[in-house]
Amino acid sequence: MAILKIENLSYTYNEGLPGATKALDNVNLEIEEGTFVGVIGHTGCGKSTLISHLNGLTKPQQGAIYLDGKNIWTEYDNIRDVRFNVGLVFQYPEYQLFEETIYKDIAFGPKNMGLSDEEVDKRVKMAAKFVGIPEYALEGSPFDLSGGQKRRVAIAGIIAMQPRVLVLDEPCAGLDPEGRELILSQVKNYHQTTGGTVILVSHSMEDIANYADKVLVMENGTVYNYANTEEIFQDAENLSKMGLGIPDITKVFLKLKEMGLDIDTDVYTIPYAVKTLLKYKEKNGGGHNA
Amino acid sequence: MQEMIKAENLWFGYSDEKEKALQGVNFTATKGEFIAVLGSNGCGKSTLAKHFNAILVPDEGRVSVLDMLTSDDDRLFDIRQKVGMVFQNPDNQIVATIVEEDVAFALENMGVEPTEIRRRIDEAMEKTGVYKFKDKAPHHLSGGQKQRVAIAGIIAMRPDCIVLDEPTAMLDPEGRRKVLKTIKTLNKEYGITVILITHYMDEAAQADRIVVMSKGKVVKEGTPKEIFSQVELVKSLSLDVPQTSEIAYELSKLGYNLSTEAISIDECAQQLYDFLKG
Repeated sequence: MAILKIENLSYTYNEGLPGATKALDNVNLEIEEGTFVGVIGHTGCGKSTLISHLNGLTKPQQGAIYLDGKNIWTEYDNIRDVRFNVGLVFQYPEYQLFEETIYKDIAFGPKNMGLSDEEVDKRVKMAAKFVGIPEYALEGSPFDLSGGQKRRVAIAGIIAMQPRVLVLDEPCAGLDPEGRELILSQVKNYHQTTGGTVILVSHSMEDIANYADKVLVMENGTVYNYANTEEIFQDAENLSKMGLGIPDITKVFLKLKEMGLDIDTDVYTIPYAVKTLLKYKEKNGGGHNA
Repeated sequence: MQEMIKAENLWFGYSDEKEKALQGVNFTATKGEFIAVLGSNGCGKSTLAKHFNAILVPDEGRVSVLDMLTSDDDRLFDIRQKVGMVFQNPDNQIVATIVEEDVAFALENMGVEPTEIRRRIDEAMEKTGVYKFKDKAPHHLSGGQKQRVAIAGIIAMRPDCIVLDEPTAMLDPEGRRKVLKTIKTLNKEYGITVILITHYMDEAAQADRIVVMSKGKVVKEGTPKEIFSQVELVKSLSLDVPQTSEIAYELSKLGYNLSTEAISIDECAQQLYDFLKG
């Protein structure tokens, strides 16, 4: 059974006013437990509105969200139970740090869940380890950390709640390549170790290509496509036309095709590109007679 | 060629830090150049940028803008008119409630004649492609549009040089593309010197010259081709190379003879075409 089901979901901002904008238009989607889902789409395509519905921050105007097959607004006693299961990391989460120590900041969520001190302690250490914050640093102030470190502390605060679905909205914005890689590999590690579901919103097609099992492409408040990563990239030409910033390597392969080569263009990572090129060369006899 | 900005043996430290943020930086920007500054978080790029219009002044060494020293208080006003800065977060730079008022803000403060203000802001808004939003409220614009409004506000002052500190970090691909296009137009068509600090290798690849910083020092300088062809060096500095260089590098490791200098999509595709056909 799908862990999250989104049914006929529509949402309009400023409904009934002159400035009304339709952010979501009849979205239907099922996310299987344990999937790493990448979400891409233009600014204004409805990504953020969609994810704010997943843990009940926004209430559907039409349609419904189901967690474990139960409607989150009518079949749960308390919406907080939903929020403990679906953890949302906002954009620039480092701005939300507030406690005196890193330890206390990470412990805030689990404490609110009413866990014992012992369990909270266990979870804080587990979460800190996932994001690479050493135990000795936990008593320091979060405000003495660098931007990238702060962000990892903020993510640890959500991980410590051990949500079954971890939703991250642009977790890498503003970080250098090493910082990006670090956060994404930690999230991937969390995904693999816990078997939890991860939903990653990103503008970077490269990051999505490298980490996601499935990709949700949104356009104008609707689901343009939801499929395995390879299938999504078979459609690279259209994604590019939608202005979605496809990886450079994919652009190179589209160009090769345009130059008359009969080559696959669903290439989105370097190792896969190398393999595709060598396969082509082999199949065409090394081209020594060209 | 006239020097727009020159930093000589520049040292600078924030008071609460043991290690100096800048450790003997030498840097020159020639008039009309488009320079990209790369480096991992905390390498000192933003600190360096803030020296270019005297937001910070050196502890040791000197920085000059068109031969005016930034440490000379009497020239502060002139320096800030020559070198404008744009920061990462568009929301922190917009002050007015209407786009055209925001663009006019600096000029009003400078006491420019109203008719002259009108002329200059119209021109600045045209150049940055925000003229059509001139009557809108900035908070109704997208991040990329707001960032272009911020750039228009700088351009209206008619600076010779514009320094942009990760202007596209908070933008989506479309917003990034438009901001970068605007920056390139200002450089190529209006001859404004551009210093662009960025984490995006594809943006840096479009510059005339790249300056790479690490731990408060300039560690490498050269054209994008020269820099990105040194894949191992770039990676050792916690940076990336464009995928176009990387594919050539990976194939070279397998014994094929490919150049990592083919960094544009077309060059790379042509090289791979020849590789497959040859």
